[in-house]
Amino acid sequence: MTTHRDNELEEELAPLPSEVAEDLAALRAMDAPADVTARAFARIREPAAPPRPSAKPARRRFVAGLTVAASACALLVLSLVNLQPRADEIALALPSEGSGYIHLPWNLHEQDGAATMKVETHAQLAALHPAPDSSQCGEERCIHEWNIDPKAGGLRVAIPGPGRWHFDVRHTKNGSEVTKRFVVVATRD
Amino acid sequence: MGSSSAALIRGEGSAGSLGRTPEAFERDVRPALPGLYRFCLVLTRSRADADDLLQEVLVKAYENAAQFDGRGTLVGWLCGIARRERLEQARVASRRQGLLDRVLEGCAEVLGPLFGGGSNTDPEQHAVRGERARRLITALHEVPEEYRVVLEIVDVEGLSHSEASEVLAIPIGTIKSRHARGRARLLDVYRTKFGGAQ
Repeated sequence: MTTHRDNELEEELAPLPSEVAEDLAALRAMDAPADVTARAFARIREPAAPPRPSAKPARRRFVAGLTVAASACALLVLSLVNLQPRADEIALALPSEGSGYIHLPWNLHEQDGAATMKVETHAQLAALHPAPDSSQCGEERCIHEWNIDPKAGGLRVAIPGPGRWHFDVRHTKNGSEVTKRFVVVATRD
Repeated sequence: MGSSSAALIRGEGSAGSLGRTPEAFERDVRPALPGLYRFCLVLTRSRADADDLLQEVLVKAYENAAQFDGRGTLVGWLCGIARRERLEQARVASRRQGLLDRVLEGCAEVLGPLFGGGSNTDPEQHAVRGERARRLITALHEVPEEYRVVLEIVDVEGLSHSEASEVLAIPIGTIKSRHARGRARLLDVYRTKFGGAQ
């Protein structure tokens, strides 16, 4: 294998025993599984979230709507509505192995400025991107918090396996709070 | 795109040389995926976690493609993203579980079919290589993460100490000492666990 290693390195460290060196060579020959890379590139090709519809001035404090886009990774568009909490169910088809993903755009108005978003999830849902600014976890549930710029993209959450995954999303701005509850129903064929 | 994929892998790219369209990005990074995947396997505790991490890294790399300045190798840049992602995940997980370094619960999963097909090698040779790679990964997971990461990117991926220093944002002297200590730990594991590497 071509290396960029400093020439002096081998002078500093004793050569590895042949047994270890052969194991290293075997590991270097390992490739990434085709299905994993295919899923990753499929995510990159995912269509962007649809543009936010223009809101009436009276509703500008909070954003409305929940859209589910059927795509390879089950794109979910979440909005916050100026309504009482209610629950929606979103179906997610998991790949044959590994996690599936949902995408939650921070569907906020730029004129609203920065906002605080809290998402309560099952404690197993630790793969959150971007990483929360803070998290508080109990045995089963975590509350993650982000201070977000309305221009920021959104949140990706890895759903590790089949089941009903409950999310409570709270959007806090100007001292008031709106809660949205939904359930991702993940299944694997 | 101003550079070939091979040039990017060798670290001969230039600022803005990574493809910005999904197709161009895929073409550019595909040659670096084996190295990135190995890094993810060594960094995480299970194959499923490695798969997830690789996907997250690729998405993040695509979103930040403009930041790849071509000074280092592409695989080094991707490994740096993987490292930061992993630290973030560990930070969240440690809050949740109070354990940053989990037991080797996922090791058996890591040790699944490592060679994912597409190879023209003899099946027997293929199996032997799989066993060898598996043994090394098992041994690496017995080594503390701070050493394990350095061993992977220097000894497996062939990055120089100076590039490892950039990728991991650690002084080069620390990289060198962790490399030496990591090797010593690895050889200890081979001796105690496999009865070899005398």
